[in-house]
Amino acid sequence: MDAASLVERIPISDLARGEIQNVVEVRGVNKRYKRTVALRNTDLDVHRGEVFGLIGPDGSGKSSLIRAIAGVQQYDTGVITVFGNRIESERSAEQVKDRIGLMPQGLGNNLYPQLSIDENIDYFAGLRLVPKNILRDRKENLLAMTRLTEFRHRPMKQLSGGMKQKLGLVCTLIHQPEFVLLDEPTTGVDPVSRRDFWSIMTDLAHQSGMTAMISTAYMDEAAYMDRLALFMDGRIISQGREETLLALASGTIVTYQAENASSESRRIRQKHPLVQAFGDMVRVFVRDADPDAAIAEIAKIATPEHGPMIAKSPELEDVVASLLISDGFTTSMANESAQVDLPDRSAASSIHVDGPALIKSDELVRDFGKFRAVDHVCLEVHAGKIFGLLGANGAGKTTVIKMLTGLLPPTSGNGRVAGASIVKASQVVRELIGYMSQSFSLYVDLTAMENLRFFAGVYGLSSSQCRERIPELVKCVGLQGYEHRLTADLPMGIRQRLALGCALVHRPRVIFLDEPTSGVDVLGRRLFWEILTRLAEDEEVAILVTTHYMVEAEHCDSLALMYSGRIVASGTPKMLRDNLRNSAGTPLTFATSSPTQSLRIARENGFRRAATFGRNLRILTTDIDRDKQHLIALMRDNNIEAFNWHRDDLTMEDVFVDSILSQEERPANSHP
Amino acid sequence: MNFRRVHALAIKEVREITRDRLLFTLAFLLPPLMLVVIGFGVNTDVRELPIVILDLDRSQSSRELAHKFKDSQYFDFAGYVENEREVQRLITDNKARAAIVIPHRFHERLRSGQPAQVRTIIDGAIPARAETVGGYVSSIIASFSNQQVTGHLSIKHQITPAAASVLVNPISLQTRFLYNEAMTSRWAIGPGCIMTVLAFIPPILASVGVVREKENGSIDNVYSSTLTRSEFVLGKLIPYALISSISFFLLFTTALVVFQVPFRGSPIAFSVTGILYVTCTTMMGMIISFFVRSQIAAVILAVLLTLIPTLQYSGMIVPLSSLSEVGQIQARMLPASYFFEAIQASFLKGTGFQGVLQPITALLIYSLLLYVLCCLKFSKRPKS
Repeated sequence: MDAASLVERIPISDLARGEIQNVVEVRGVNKRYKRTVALRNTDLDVHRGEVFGLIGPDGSGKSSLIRAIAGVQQYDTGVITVFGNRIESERSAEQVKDRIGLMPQGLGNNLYPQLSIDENIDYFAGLRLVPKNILRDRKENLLAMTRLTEFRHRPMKQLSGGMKQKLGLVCTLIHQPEFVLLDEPTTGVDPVSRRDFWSIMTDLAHQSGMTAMISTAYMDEAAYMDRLALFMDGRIISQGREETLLALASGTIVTYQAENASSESRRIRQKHPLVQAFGDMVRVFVRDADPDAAIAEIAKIATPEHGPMIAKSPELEDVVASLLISDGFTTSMANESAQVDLPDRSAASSIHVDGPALIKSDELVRDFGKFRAVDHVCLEVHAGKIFGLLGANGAGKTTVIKMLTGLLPPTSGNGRVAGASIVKASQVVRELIGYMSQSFSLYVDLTAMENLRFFAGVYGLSSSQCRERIPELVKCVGLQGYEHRLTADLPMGIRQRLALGCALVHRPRVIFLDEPTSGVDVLGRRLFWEILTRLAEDEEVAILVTTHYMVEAEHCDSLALMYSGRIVASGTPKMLRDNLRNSAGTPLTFATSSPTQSLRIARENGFRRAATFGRNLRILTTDIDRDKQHLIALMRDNNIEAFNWHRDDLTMEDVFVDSILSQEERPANSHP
Repeated sequence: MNFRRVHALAIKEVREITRDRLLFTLAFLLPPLMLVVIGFGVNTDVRELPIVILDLDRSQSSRELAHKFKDSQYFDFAGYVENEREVQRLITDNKARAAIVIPHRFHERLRSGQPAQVRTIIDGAIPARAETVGGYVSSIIASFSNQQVTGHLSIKHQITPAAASVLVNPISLQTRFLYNEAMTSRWAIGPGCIMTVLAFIPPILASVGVVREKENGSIDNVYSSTLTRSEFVLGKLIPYALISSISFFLLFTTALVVFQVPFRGSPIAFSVTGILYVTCTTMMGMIISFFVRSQIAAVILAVLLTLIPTLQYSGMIVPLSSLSEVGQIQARMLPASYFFEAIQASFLKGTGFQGVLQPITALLIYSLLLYVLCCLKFSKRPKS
């Protein structure tokens, strides 16, 4: 079905036509809550008909801005104008509310679990006074576009994350707003639904003339935005088109293989602060250097036994990291990594023999009533390894961790953690492990030091042990200078490291981390992974970590992708990519004048995995030349412009999307 | 005021409550259950109290006195005891509430015209009950003394016992309790419970109904739409007041059928009062919900702010007239006092429509004021 044909064009009112081209103008807006500053002197414009992105980690002020613009929350100072109407009181905000649609943060949180899809939509239509005769057609169209029609009588609580997100979108669009504000619509959604959502959104925006402001925590979604603003700590650090932002920090990314990537990266950091180690790969951002110069530069200082060097242009995430460092942000990695205790023990750990399996799960199953949350999950994590469990919200990651940590008895199956059975000796298990839960179970009214002491007490450390262990931890997770600050006042990145420190007080041999990096900025995430890598390498700790940031998967020694309770793919990151490359090929991307139509044509002509990214179309191919000629011909036949052809690398997201789609395509699925 | 929006909100609300098992239980099953539990469980009647007797005399007179206690409907004779230590132990163990100690030479002193002393030991842990027990004991002793004197006189003056009785008691008192002849406490507690239960269940429902939307974020649908404040308040009020009205009728029926409380007033007038009363308490819950963020805080505040003042000031436990002047004014600021007036008028007194006209007017004014207050306090563009 061609979704684009279902899109209604928004009639632009005469009033609107006479208005200036800016739908939103934000000038010098400030907002603070009791303890935190949400917005500092924010300025931005949203033009008519564009998709404007707000990108930044949780808690950086995106929601506060969206809510202030939607007129559902007050701001302190500054001016916000929407459709030329100043939003300064409840009364003035009401003036434009029927032209705006807001989808608040949290997957399906603004929907009603007891109500069916139909009833949810009817409620929104009633609130928005959509005439009954128009409602019928529009509802059919929107349901068809989001492929929810066949589930229309199902209660919302029984929908998957991706379906909830699409229903949320339908409800927001039911009154055909001229301007929509979507607050993190893709957070915690599986990658297939995420791509699906964006292709619907792109269609709508381009076909109907709607203006959209969309926030996200994922840097890679910048590809879908016409223009975007990067948020950090209540400030917009930069805004404009993606190309403009990329140009802010020019340079080259050099990637190469090195025997001991983490100690290599520490050495490289002396000269080039933006360096990361992924498994046995080192990735360096060489500022202000073209590819040849960058490779030459790195070759001079790299270890003699390095693999071939590949030069690439930087991604938005690299640019942001670079901007943060030069801005001298407090969480800047450059000065903090100096504080972090990094003993160079490369010699000792250069040859990695697989340690004993410290985490092992055997056909773990967990049912909640009729719902199977975890379905025969097997995994194994060895000492000194980082194991990544990836998946969308509700895929069953947290349930697996809860079973392995002895907090939740499995329905069937068994597992051993640090040698103890999780079924028979769950109490023993709990003493051997460190667990950092999703919400960082810290006491925010205690200082960092008091939190550490509290957890030391809980795990029964004597006061002499405390005197030795706590300073060690402070150094290990890099808390110097923050020891006596209230936890509530700490930035998210520091809080996250404090939580890790608390999980490590009793020197566990196994640690479980449940979404440790959500809400943390790029640099904070990078530093956190560095600490984890070191824990695994130097202290032989087995680490199981969950995340929904696909890019973080590269840091793991091995991975499992979870989808509706099951592991759909597992292996090392390289293995997973290689498998996909062998079966489906490598990505080929081109820009097109009509992404939606091109997508339909590509899919009809055998490119089943084709997907749109903003104005780009991306396919997987095993024979680039043949497929490129085929597509060029197809596009020409349909009078669609196609330009800017280029090859991409396979990402973990490609792997995940492929695994889910092949799972869904498999006929006679045993699972409901 | 656009009624399509109000309708959309109200329908959504009803669907949610009737499909959510917990809310449904809270709305429809809990109120009658509480009425039955409180109504049967709380019994202020002091009857069949276990009593023991320490008879040190073991004579004809002492046995006659003991029989008086055994025959009384207020006491349940729990046996003779041998010494005072045992009395103490039985009262401590809650096996006896009171004891009668008949001294040595009781019979002898009575016969020889000397004063005889009888002691009673009463469990004073609950003063009100102890006082009642004391009253029962002294009235039995007085009646026993009376009998002794009457018997003595009739023998001495050769007259009939009846004539002797007139000489001893020239005035005889006849007591009749109006409205509740048998003084069945259940008749008073049953209807009182309707008021108590409806004082805090509707506010809990309504405040949770609003705060739930605040907690999970769906309130943003209201904030971001053009639904006005007054439409919002009305759209939330209608379903919750409706549910609480149904629960009012359930309670009303329970009182009549289960407790067999006589109803002597106008059922229509009483129903109108009941509906107005739950409308008021529902809106009290809504006001609470505008100030809190979590459902748990809403529940606690709803109970604290509604139940305690209702018990204190409705007139159910302490009659309004015995409150201080300030107390009476405070009581008049609560809808419960008007509803309690209507309960008394309708159930036992049976004053018809006329008797509840004043409560109806008061509750109507109260509802309107609360509605205006709700509209003023609800903000579609809060600070955070």
